[in-house]
Amino acid sequence: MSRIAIVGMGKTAFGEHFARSYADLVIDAALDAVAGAGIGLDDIDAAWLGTAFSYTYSEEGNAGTALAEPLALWGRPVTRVANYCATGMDAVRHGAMAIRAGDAEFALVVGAEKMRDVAPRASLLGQHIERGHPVIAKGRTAPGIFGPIATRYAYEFASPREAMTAIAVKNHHYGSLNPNAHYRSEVSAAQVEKAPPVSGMIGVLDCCPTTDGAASVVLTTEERARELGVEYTVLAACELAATQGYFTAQFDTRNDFLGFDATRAAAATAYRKAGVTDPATELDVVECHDCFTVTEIINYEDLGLAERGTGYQLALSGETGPGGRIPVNTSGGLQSCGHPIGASGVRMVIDVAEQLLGRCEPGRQVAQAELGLAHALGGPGSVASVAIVARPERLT
Amino acid sequence: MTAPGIERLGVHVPRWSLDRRELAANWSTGGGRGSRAVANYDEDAITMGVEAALAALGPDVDAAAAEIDAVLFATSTPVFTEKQHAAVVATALRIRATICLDVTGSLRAGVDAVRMAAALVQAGTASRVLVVAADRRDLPPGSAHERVSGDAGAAVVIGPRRHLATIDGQGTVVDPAAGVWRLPGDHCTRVADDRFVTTELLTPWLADAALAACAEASTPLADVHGAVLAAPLTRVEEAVASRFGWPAPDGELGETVGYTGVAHPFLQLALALPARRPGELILVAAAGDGASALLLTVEDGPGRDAAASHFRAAVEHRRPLAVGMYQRMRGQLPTEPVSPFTSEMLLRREQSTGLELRGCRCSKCGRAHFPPRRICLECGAADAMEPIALSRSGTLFTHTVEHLFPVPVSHLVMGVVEVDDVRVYTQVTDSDPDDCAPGRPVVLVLRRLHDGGHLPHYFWKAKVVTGADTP
Repeated sequence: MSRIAIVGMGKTAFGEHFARSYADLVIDAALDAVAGAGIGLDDIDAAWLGTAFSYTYSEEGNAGTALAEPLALWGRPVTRVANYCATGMDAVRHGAMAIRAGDAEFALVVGAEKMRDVAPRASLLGQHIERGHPVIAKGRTAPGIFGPIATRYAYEFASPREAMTAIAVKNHHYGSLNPNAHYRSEVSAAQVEKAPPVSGMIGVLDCCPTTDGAASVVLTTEERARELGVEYTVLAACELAATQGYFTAQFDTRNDFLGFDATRAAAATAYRKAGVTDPATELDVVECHDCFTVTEIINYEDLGLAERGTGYQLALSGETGPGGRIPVNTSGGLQSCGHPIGASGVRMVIDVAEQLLGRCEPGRQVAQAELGLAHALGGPGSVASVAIVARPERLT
Repeated sequence: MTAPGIERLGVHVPRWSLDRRELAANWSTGGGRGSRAVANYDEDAITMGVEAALAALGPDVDAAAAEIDAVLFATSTPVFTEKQHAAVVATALRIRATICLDVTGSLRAGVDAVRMAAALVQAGTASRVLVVAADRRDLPPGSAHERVSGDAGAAVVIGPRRHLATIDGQGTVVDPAAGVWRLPGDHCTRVADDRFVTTELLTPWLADAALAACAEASTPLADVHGAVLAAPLTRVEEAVASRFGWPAPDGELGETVGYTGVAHPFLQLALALPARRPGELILVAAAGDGASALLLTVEDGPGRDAAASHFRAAVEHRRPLAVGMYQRMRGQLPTEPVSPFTSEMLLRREQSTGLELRGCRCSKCGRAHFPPRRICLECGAADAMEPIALSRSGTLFTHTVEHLFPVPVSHLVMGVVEVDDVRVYTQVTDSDPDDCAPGRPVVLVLRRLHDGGHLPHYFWKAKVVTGADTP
C-alpha cells in the first residue's frame, strides 16, 4: 500500500490577529499549503476543516462550509472535524484516510481557531463558566483539569514544580527562536515561579496563551509526491483514541490522575503502525501537548519517553532541550506558539515535518532528524492524537 | 398514644463570622459587640435547612429519613416566591413525603410549623414530621438590625417516640400590626420604629403567647423553669423574662451568631436543653405577626446536648470574614456577572443524580458508577443498572485551588472525592486550601451552585471535615 506524503504545508503566524478574520486565517494557511505542494486549489479532491468550537468566540467554524466558502472550494466534499484539542490532528487523520482509501488524490486539511475576537476571559474560560452541563463538573476550567494531576503527582511521586519550571524555560527559549510563535521572549525560572497562581501548582507562565491561528497541509500518495518533485515527508501514522467522556472524566474510579489513557492508546497504535519499538531512542524530535507545563511531564511518561513517575526527571535532565537526546517542542510548544485549538494539531505535524526537512531556524533545528512525533491531547484527557512523521528514506 | 414531642434536633451555623465592631466601623457608626454568623455565598435558606436536617437525622441519615412522611419548611427569607422549598429539601434528603409544605411570611413560622407537625402526628395524619427552619435575613445595610442578625438553620423531628421534649401546651397570638415586613423586589426587610416595635408589639406578643401556652397546659407561669423567647430586636427577651420572673436569657447565641429568624427559637432551645433536667418545663416562643409558644417538658431521650455541642464546635471553628467580602456575598457590592447554561428538561431528567445524589450499580459485574450511566464501564453490560444512594461522606482523592473561575470569594477549590465505591468531582466549600490534601475526610453538603437561567441550581459540594463537624 502506498504511503501518505505531506507535500504542502502552510501556517499563519500564531498570535493576536485583531485585524484579520477567521476566513483570512483559513485562506492564508490553505493557499500557502497548496502553493507549497505545487498544485492549485482546483486539484484538491476533498477537504477537512478542524475547528473545535464554532460560533463561540468568532463568527464561523460551524461546518465544512467555513472552509469551502472563503476558498470558493465548491463541488467537493468539505467536512468539519471537532474533537477538543485533538481537533486539528484528527482532521489530518481524516485526510490521510481519504488518500489511503483512494477516494482522493489530493486532500486539503486546514485547522483554524479565532479565539481573540473576544477577551481571553470570554474565550475558552467562558466556555467552562457559561456553557456545558449545568451542574456536573461546574467549576472546572482548562488549567483546572491539570491542577489535580499536579497535586496527585506530587502525592504519589515528587513535586513536579521544578520540572514544570524547566519546561516553561525550555519551551519559551525555543519559542524565542520561532518567528511564528505567539510569545517570542525567554522567561527565567524566577519569573515562572513568581507568576500569579492559576490552578493549584499551575501559574500563569505554566499556561499557554489564548491565540489566533491557522495551519494547513496537503496530503497525497508518496507516488504522486515523487511525480510532483517537491520535498515531502511521510505520515507514517496518525491515530486517535477516545478513552473518556467530557463532563464525567474526573468521576472515573479507574483514573489515577497520573496520566492519560488516550495518549497511551493512540501512541501504542501509532508506534505499531510506524514500526517504532523503542520511542525513547528511535524518535529524533517530538512536538507534544504542553497546554500546561505539567502536561508535558505527563506526556513524557504516556508517550514512553520516560518511565512512569520519572517524567519530571527527564524534564530536569535537559535531554528534551537544545542539544539533548530527544528535543521536545522545538517550536516553543503551545506554551510559546499559543493554542488556537483547531490549528494546533496541524501546526504540530508541520513543525515536526519542518524539522525533518531541516527548515528550522538555527538554535532550534535538530541535527539529522529523521523520525518525529506529534501529539495532541483533547478534553479532560478524553481523546488524544499521535502522528509519526518520517523522512522518506527513514522508513523501509 | 403518647403526646408528640421533639425526637431530634439539629442546627447549622455557617462558617463565616463577621465582627460587629468592624461592620459598624465600616459605616462610621461605632458600636457593635461580638460577632454575627454569615452564610457562605453558596448558602441560602434551603441549603442551611438541609444541613441542619442532616445534623438532626444523625449518622444513619437514610434510616432516619425513611421514618419521616411529612416535611414542613419554615423561612421568612424564601429563595422562591413561587416554587416549593419543602419539595427540594425532602428530595435532597431522600424523604418520601406525603405531606410537604412551606410555612413562610412570618418570623413565627418555625414554631407554627412545629405546632402543625404536632397536630399532624396527634391526628395520625403523619407518623413523623421533619420541620426545617432556616433564614438568611438581609436588614438595611449599616443598620443595627443588620449587625444583630445572623444566618443559620435548624431542624426538628416531631414524632411519638422517646423524646428530647414533649409538647404539653401551645399558645398563639395573631396580630397584623406592621413591625417588620418585606415586599417583592425589596433587597432587605423594612423595620418600623424600634421603640414602637419593642414595647407595643414584640414584648406583649411574646408575653401573651406564653400565657396562652401555660393556660392551655394548666401550668402556672411560676412552674416554668426557663424560657427561650425569639424576637428580632434585642431587649425584648429580657423584658418578658423579667416580667414573668424567669431566669435572664443566656447571651451566647446573640453574642456569637445573632438573631436567626425562624431558626432562632430552635437554636435557643438547643443551647438551653443540656442545662435542663428531665421533667423540667421550658417555654419556647417566637414573635412575628403576633407570637406562638410551645410549653415543653424536658424528657430523658438520648442526645439532649448533641445540638449544643454541634453548635459550639461550629462556632469555634468559624473563620473571620472581611466586611468587603461580606458585602460582596450579600450583593451589596457587585460581582462578576455570569449566566451559566441551563435546561429545565435536563435538570428534570437528572434530578435523582444532582439532588438525591444517586448513582447506579451494574447488576452483572457490581461496578458502581456516578453519575449513573446505561452501559457499564467495567463489563459493557447494557441497561443492567440498579440505582444506588451515595453516602454523604468520603475522602479527598485530589484537588486544585482554582483562581480563574469566578466566585465571590478569592478562589474556588475543586476536588475529586471518593464516596463509597464511586468518585464525585465537585466544588469544595467551607474549607481552606490548607485543609485539602489527598486522603482527607470530607462530607457532602447541598449548596447553591449558580443561578443560570434565573433558576437556583443546587448540587452537592464537598466540605473537608474539621473540628467543626465532629463535636
